[in-house]
Amino acid sequence: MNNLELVDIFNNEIVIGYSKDMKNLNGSITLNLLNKLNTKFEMILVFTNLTKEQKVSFNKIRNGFLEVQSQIDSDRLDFNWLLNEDKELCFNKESENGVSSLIFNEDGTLSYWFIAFKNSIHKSIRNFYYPSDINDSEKIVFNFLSY
Amino acid sequence: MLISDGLVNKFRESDFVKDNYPQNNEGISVEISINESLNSQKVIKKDGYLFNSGKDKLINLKYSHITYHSINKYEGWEKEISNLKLLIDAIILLDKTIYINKISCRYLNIINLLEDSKKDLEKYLVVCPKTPKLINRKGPFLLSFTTTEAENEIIGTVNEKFELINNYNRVIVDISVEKNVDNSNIINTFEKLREYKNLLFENLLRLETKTLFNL
Repeated sequence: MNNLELVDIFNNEIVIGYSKDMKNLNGSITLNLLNKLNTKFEMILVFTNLTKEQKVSFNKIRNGFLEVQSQIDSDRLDFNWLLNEDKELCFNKESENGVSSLIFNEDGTLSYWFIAFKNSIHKSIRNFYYPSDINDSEKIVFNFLSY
Repeated sequence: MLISDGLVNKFRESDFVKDNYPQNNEGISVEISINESLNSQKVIKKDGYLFNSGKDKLINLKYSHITYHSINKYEGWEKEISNLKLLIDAIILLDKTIYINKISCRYLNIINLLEDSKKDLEKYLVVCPKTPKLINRKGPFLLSFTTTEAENEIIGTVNEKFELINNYNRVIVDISVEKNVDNSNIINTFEKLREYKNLLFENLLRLETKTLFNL
């Protein structure tokens, strides 16, 4: 018989139905699985032990990304991230013009770098922000994504 | 929302939890595989706690967010929003400085349609997998799209999964709606999210489906 049912997230059909297709996200069923940007930020929070100060900067920049997401195609917001040996969280994005980096330092300060490739028409940039300076996170995110 | 260890501990010990969610408040872990580089990594991290009412409600408290789940049976929006308000009030009582910067609702529907509907899924759902006739249509097929409600700046994400199981076309209709907030009007904003979720769901179904299920 045809039927329609409102089910909970822990329903076996939901868990089995999704988990076999999305093996990379085992255990993360409360996340919005296909919203890549949200998932990435959730993963960063779970995977890293950011300091309280880093979390302040991180949260501001995350809000900037979410603002930008509402304006442009979310697929274009993709970036790589890593926690380096100095426990700095780094967002990196490479384009034909160069490499953009946002670096969240342990003390909460934020560095934005754009290192231009040799033949690029753009110049390299380095900006530095204290957490209290991150008032326009959307602009920082736009700059990070622009080159 | 970022949740401190202090708040997690206070919440675990609170009367709200003892009275309403007495069971299974064990630490939970999450397993993550990361395949962004050639060196795939797996980590297991403690990621929060589950609080179970014992029959129909569950709270998942993580360091990045809190989720309230209605399990077993959906008792209607008024009941759910009332439970949610109690939870939010309890959290704010424990930490008056907490800042809620985003809220979201997620509704999961499973629609089972008899197998003879498989060639005519388009008759029942507005968004369906488009496949050449020669391709085996058993699936599974996953579809996802995001939509924005401009006036209230709500982002809606619809995930649909189609699969032929036994004699049924099983369709998971998974709708999430979310909005950035500034720590105020939380409950009113949930009402707006619900309205947009209903609008999305209604517009995903064809008239045949609404007739079939008396919607």
